Amino acid sequence: MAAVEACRGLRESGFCGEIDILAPDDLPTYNPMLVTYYAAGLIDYSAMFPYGDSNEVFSRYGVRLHKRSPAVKLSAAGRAVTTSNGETMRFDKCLIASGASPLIPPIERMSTSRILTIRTVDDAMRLKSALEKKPQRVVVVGASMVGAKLTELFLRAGSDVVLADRADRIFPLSAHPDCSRIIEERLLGTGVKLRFSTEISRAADTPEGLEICFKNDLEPLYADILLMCAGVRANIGFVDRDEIETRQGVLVDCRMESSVPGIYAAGDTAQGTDLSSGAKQIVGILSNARRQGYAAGCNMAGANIEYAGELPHNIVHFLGMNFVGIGDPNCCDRCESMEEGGRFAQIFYRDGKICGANMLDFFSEAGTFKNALRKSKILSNDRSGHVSQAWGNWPDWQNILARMDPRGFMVLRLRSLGQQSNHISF
Amino acid sequence: MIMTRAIMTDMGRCVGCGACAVACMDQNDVFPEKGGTSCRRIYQMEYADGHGAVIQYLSAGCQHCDDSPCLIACPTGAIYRDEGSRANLVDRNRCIGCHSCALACPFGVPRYDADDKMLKCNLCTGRVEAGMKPACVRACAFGALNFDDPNKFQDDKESRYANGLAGAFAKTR
Amino acid sequence: MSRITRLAAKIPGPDTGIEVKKSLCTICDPLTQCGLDVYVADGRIIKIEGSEEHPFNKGALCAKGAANRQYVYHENRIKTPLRRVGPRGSDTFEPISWDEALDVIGEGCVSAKSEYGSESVIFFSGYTKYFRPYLRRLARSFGSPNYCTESSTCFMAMAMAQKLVFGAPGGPDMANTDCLMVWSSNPYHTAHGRGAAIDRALSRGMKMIVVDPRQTPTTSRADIHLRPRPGTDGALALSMANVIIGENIYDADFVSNYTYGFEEYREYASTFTPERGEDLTGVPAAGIRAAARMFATAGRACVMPSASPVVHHTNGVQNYRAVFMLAALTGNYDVKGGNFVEPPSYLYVSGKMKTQEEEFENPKPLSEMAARIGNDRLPVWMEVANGEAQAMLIPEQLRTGKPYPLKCLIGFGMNYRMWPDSEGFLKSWQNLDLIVNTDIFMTDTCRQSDIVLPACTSLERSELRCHAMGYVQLSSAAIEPLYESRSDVDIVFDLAKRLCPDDPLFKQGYRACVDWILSPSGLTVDELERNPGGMFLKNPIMPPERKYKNGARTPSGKIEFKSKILEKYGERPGFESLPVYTPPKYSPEAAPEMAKEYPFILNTGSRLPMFIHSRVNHLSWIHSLRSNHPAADINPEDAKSLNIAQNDDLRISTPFGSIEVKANPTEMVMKGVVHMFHGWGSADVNQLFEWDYLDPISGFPGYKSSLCKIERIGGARR
Repeated sequence: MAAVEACRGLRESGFCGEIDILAPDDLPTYNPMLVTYYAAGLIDYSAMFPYGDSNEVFSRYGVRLHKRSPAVKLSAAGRAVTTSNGETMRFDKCLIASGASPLIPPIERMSTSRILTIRTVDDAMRLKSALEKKPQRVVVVGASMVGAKLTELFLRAGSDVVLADRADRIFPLSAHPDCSRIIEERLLGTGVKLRFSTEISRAADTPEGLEICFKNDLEPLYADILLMCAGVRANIGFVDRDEIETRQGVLVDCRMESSVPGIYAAGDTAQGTDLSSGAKQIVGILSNARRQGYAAGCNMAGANIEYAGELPHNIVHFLGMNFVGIGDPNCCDRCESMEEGGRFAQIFYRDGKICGANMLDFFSEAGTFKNALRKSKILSNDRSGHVSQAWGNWPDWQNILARMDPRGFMVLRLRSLGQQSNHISF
Repeated sequence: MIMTRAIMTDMGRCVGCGACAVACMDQNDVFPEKGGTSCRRIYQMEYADGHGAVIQYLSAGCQHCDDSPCLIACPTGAIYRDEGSRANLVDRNRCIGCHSCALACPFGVPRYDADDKMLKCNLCTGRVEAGMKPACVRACAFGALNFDDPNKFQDDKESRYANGLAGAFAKTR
Repeated sequence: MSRITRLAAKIPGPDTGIEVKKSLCTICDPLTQCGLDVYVADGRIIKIEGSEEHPFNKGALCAKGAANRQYVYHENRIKTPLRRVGPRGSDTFEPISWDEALDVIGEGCVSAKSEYGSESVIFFSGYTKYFRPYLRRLARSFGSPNYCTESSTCFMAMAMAQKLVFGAPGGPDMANTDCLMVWSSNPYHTAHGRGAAIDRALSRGMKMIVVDPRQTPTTSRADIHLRPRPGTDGALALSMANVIIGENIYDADFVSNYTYGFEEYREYASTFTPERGEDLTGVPAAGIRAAARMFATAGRACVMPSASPVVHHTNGVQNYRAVFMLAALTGNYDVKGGNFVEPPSYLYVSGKMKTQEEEFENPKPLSEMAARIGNDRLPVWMEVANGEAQAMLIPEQLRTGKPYPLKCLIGFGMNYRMWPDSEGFLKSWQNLDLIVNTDIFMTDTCRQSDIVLPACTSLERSELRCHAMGYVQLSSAAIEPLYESRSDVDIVFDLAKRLCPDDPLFKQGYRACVDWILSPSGLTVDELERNPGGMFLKNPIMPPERKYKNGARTPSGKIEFKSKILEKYGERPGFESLPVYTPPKYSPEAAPEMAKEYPFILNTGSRLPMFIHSRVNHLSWIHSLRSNHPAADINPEDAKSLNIAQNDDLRISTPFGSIEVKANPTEMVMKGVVHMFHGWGSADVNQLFEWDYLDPISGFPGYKSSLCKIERIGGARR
């Protein structure tokens, strides 16, 4: 997706030269997020490919697509890339937008057919057929957004679902423990079993099904299907780490350029600015990939476009609830929570400044909050300091938004008049 | 001709009466008791600068942004730009109810129906094609909502405020 | 565009079968109604819009008017006439036929008349107002002096203040004025057509002074906003007079030739220096001076009064007299651009046409009947108001039976929560033999009645209205009345058959009566029916300026700084002939001991844009704008000092009761004041007032200033 947007950026910025794209397979551009939706039957196969067969979009941007030609080596100094076919191509500018692959924990495996990862179109096909078989026992490893959607899918299909994670709670990267606990209580109410603070050590086929053993000597579980969604890793094996500065991904500046001039990265490979902490992080979000890709494309064409970065944010709508995570709850030193009518919200602070939020069934204000926070982070990291002066035990939600208003007003109150059904009323 | 028009809010004129919100619900048969919400939301904003308070009102709705955060965040392409009306619309069949747009929109616009399909302002395209104003604009008593060319609107507003400022300046002399 | 698309978008036309019918909105009744375009398909309303050709609303609506469809089709509509079967207030009713219901009422009234006299039957009109001429005639024809309306708490006291000063009230000539002084009104939230007219006047350069304790869209547009503490308007006006007289910028010619009592007034006003004014009102002396100078020197200036905020005080009429005297002082009475006098045409509105409304309403003179309710306590009302009884005195007369017993209460749109000590008023109903209420919805008042009659909404009938811009409309019914509901006018005419069968005009029916009323204007029902959206008068009557030159309609024949009518009552406290300023009965100034325990000023009923009394509280469209959970507006600083946050549960108490509401801190409210909207069944703020917390001149309740305390329920926050 980042690559397509980069092509658009290149051409819209007046680049007339040649564009080559190296693709790992012969599939059109697809969106990994849609895998669970396809499996659930909510969308057709074709809908996983937002640009259709991609021919139209690539021909529009005059792109040469090299199918089944993943890069295996990138020489920054030599300005060349070698593909799996052994072909070496030279370039003036290069964008690394090779995406990410599922992280598979190091376990002893005695079977592969019952273990599924959730990322690719092939995964989607396997997941769909697994779901259609309505398996009785399902273990989901990885209490992430994808894990939550998978739990929902198999629960609806009538399966007994165990959700496991090495962390001690659901959504460990985006939810505060308090919020996790509320979600877990709701999950337990639907019959899901939870197994946290443990890792799988072994998975082997037995007559009773797939035997799944855990570290720290927990009882093994027997399952028909084991779903692995314990995160992803950037596909940057072809990058020479001595040449280009990389950590989890390729480190980029606000122009999406790596430590080597002329080499850019975008999407799940790019480690750009995380606005909540100010540090460099991979923020694997579709809109971030698109904006990074577009900025990279423009800059490769000679423009000078800055992309300030993104706040990590996620929204997941599952089992009748709606969880929003903004920023990193694990780096806050203080938080304020509020519960009303079964809805829950939390604001995280670090050094007296807002650094994120959790919202459960509170989506209507989420976009306003996220964008206001993002804007305040871009304009000035001091701005959200006003929030600490908010009065009352729970300074009302929009009051906080208003205090982040970048126009420089000291805002006392910003209040929605009514809208009972979807707002907490102020 | 239709292509360049949008619903613009003039905050200097809005009094937060809520007529636009109700007119929208009447036009679109939206009933809050059934979980529906108006496509317009009314905000009362209160600024205090130490000398006194300023209260401003805002009728906010979908801006049908050119560079739409919701459109960019939509994983299926369900949100699309209708080239004729310049409206950002939702293809119900493609919407998967993932709520990504809710977290993308800075104006808090997206809402969802009972089937989890996204609901938003459609710029009253049917009325506009029939030569009528969008329902919310029609209800507004103070010219706070306008259905017009955004550039023309901005020009008009600026010249009006410039005149107002000049007038206010003259009054203080 | 396909028919399906057009149907979905509710586009009228032969292909969609959607028709637009012209009607009027009477959800609120600011004396000028908004024209409605009612979209009807298959006899059902599918959409409401303002009529673009209507000169008042010009196509626009407010939130309440836009909610008309929900109003019409709401499930709480009364569907048939009802008769109470259980004990009163038990909410057990049985449906009965119209004939049966009307017979019960007719027999009840006739037997009360023969046993106790016709005065024992009270005829009361709440909202709406269109049927009032007919109801009044019904009362009079029946022989009862006790016709009364919600004007016992609204509008009339303001008119009385003007009549005491000028003889004939004058309205602000906004189109021609150079300076508009809005004294406690916020038309942007209450009558949008008037707000839009202010916007137009401001854009042509009109200056605006707004006096209002609250901060509103009107105050934000003002050149000068004066923010007095509630109930101190008289002191503020006298301080402005002090400046205008002291700086010699008053109209000396007008004052010397056409006014009475100026010297005493000048002397009295001389004690109200702006500094003392600041002390009494909280408005900075500099603001008082600036406003006084602007009002006196801007050219033509006028006062835009309000119907209730200033007169809902125990000193309300005196305060408003002091305000209107500023128009007299500056010679801005009955001139273009000032407070211009136009004779009333119909239903309180000066519509540039002549009718026989007054003649119609009064088939028999009051002198042939018993004294009206409130006669002994409120002599000025009896002399100056428009012939109605003062309904605020009904509870006392019910309790005492003096000077004569009251037996039947025939209500149209009656709401007992309009009265102070509302629950006490309800208790006094046990002395009534028959309680009837006509309403659209099954309200709490209907539940306390013996017979309940279903009225239809304005969209299901026609009504006659005229407008100040010389526009007259006899609206059409957009749909047939729902269920068994009928128009209030039909009910009045059906009652007339039973109460006054010999009345010559009632016998001819409603259309003939309208024609009779309209006859001096040259208009007929037939002609008006051909123009259901309304029409401009062909020959609007434009009265001349300065009609007072031929003698003002006061006892002295002049504009009165010192009231000859009040002089008769012997300079008693509250009845002083000069506009003497007395602080509200329960205020920190007048009741310092009480203020120690009850430090906040309680102000009830200040308008919010989405509500009008309790008429639309049940509509989900309306409470999507503000929760239907009653909430008090308080100042954020007060909230902070009391540790109260948004939506906290609050208790508001006075020595007479307490209610529980939510907290809504907002900068609209000045420090030290609590604003509570009225009419909530679950939190009726009028319970917090004594029944006789009334202005001695008008009998209006002092709803806009009493003393209260507020506390967070559940103790202080951690």
